[in-house]
Amino acid sequence: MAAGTLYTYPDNFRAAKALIAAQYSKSNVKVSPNFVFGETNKSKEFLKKFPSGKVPAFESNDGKYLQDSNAIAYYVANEQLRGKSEYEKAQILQWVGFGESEILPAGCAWVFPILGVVKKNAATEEGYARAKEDMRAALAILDSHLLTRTYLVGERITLADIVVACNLSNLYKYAFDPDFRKPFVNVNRWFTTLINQPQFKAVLGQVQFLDKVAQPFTGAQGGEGKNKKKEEKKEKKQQQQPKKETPKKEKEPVEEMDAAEAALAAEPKSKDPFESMPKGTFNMDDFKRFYSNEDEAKSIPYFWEKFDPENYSIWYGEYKYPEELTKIFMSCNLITGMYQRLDKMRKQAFASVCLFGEDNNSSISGIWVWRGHDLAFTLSPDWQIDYESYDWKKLDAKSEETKKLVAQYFSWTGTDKKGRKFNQGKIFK
Amino acid sequence: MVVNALKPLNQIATFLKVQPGKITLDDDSMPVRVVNKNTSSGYINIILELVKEGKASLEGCSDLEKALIRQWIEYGFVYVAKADNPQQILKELNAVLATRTYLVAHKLTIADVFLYYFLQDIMGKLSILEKEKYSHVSRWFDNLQQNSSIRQSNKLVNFDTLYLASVAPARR
Repeated sequence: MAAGTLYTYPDNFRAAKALIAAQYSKSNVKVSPNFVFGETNKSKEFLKKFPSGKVPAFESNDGKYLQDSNAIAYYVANEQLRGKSEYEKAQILQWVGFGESEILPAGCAWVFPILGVVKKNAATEEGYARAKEDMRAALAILDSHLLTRTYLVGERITLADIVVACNLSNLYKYAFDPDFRKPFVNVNRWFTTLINQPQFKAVLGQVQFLDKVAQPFTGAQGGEGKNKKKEEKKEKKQQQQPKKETPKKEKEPVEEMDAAEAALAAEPKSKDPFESMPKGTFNMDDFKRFYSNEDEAKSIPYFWEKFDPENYSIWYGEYKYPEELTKIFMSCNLITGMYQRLDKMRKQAFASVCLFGEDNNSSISGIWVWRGHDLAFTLSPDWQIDYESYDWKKLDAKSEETKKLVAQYFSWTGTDKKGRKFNQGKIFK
Repeated sequence: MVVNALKPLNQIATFLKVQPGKITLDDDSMPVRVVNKNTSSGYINIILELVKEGKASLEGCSDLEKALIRQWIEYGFVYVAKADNPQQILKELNAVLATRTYLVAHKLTIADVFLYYFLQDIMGKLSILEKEKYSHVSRWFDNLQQNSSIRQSNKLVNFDTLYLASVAPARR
């Protein structure tokens, strides 16, 4: 079963598809807690994995990357959701297509002006005026299909239901007033059944149907003062999202994406940030090889023998927030994640970062060696994601204390300041 | 029309994979179940007993749901079983199922299964036009009969002609 991390902003109906599918298949799909829309998905690291920079995006625990909510939902689903025969699978694809091409364009043209996500102009006004009729036509098709069928495909809930229902969820919440939805008895029945399944509820919460006619282009829908703040927050989050569904009308986000791309393109790609510093005599690769192949009893003296204090420096880095560390494996991910983000630093740096303690009582600290005498992370904007979470102390290469620390961290032994025992170590090389 | 009252109870036992025991009708045509020297009588008692023994989560969650399930079982053996005019029953059920996928709550319960067995004969005898007229009942019934552990050896009622109406037309 597919397990992994989903990158999304909160309350994203697209992400909900994958999360509901995961509820059914019991796949372990976690939403990345550190995701910041507009930042995380524009970082170089993110764009490397997901070139479009769009969310939701999925990274499996075994390092597979997927974009597009429907593809992710398929990947984390089970056999029942994907369809049991080739024909069922094809039917599901048919309805996924229907949801994307018949429901979404009209749906966004209708919902975004109500939520105040798009600005009032000729194009959005025209879109809004047409949306109701387009939606009626789409719902009529859906309604006649559901007159004789309990679910869209087969006699059980499939991805087709999940995808189409999620695409409709904001419409039921913000756009379909009671008079509008009344004729679509079968769609209403089907939608109500779905959102009341425990697997849907776990992700969508309680979906409240609109009880009045919504007004477009007023900023907050319905004028409910209490919810306004929340609404606005939501709008903000959604602001950059809709580019996918109404590319014509969403000028702003498209431009923003272009700016990000331009910035990336402008960055000198191959330049080594360490270039400005003298190479010195310490051969990083040679030491790393020696360290990997030999016992610490040999490699630590070898390090001191070869180390070039003129051009290289030794640092002690300690994670600032040990009280926030919980599970050991999560802390390890923190370290390896940092290593990944520092990928380009590898050539000129070496580190041994250790985790001390146990679940819910642990600390992270390590010994770093790199070229130059200043904090290396400031050399490249790519390297600045994690380093501020650590306290950095430059060590005097000549002192006995440093020798002890280096020996301890290179050989993965000893305890941290508070006496927690060594648990695991990770080598950056 | 009179529904054979014992068949549905035995089929529910088979569906739930529990021993039906010996189920008979007493002088007042009430069902009596004897299993392991324990006797219980009445549809609701026997059905809920079977559900309990089968450890199936088909008995509803809230008190309201549990009450509704009892109501539908009663509806089954009081009205459906003795209905002179099945059209009336179908009309009522069609109105209920227009807005519901299942009779109680939003998932399958023993009420659906029980009424499926009770409606076997009525549904089997409907004309194509009648099936279309009571389209919501047809859709509900079709959903149930596609579950082979519910349907068992019952005849698959054909709703195919209904599907002709719903080949998704191209938009505009």
